[in-house]
Amino acid sequence: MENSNSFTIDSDILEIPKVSIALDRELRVHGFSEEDILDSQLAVEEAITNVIVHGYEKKAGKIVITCRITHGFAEVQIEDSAPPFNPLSIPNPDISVNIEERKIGGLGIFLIRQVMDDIVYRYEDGKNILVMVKKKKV
Amino acid sequence: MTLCEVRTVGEITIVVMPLQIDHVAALTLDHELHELAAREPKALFCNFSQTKYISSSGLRIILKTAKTVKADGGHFGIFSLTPFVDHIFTMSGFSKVFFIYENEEAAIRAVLH
Repeated sequence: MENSNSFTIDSDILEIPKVSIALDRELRVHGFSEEDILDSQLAVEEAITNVIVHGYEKKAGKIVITCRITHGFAEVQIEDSAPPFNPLSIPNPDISVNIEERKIGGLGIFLIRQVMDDIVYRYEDGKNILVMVKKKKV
Repeated sequence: MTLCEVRTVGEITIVVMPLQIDHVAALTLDHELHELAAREPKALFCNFSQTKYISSSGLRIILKTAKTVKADGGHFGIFSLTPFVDHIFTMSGFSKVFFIYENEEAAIRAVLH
């Protein structure tokens, strides 16, 4: 498929920088801004970290990352075979409280929602599939 | 080798944050900031002038450090935020819970007065 790149990583946080570098290269080639690239790297890191830590619970597993670029949109799909879990079901953290009450954690999905233009989850053929879309800023 | 360059000005500790604070870097950062906070400085400041990227793992470590320093009666603040870091702190609501300074001079001035 044109403008589509797919690769598989092990469920290991040390693999994340590799994904960030590949994503940077892909988006840069297609003229995405520095800000769009950083936002997308953030969303992908948060999503993959969730899969590794909560999905596979740091045990062995595979994660497939597919990046498609079409008409000014970057679509990143993250696929794993961990038990079914919809990350969009996590409630947003309360960001209005002071430092003592502010909870540590629960921010990853919240940030994905903030930086990406669209995010869709489905469970299909034994796989969690998360698709995140970033619109190119002009 | 340590991730962060550290400087002290009197009883004030200034820590230069790394270029990227992703989940992997955050693990090392956690360890280094934990040790610095344990020395109970009068103030601990994080200098973000070099930092291009931060994720929620990094935010978590900054929040944890701020809580520790504050619990020990110290002052915690951050300064020289780059555009992306500023964007993430604002988005997460963290810019409302931390003391954020324009630069090192402003941060130090705030503690000395």
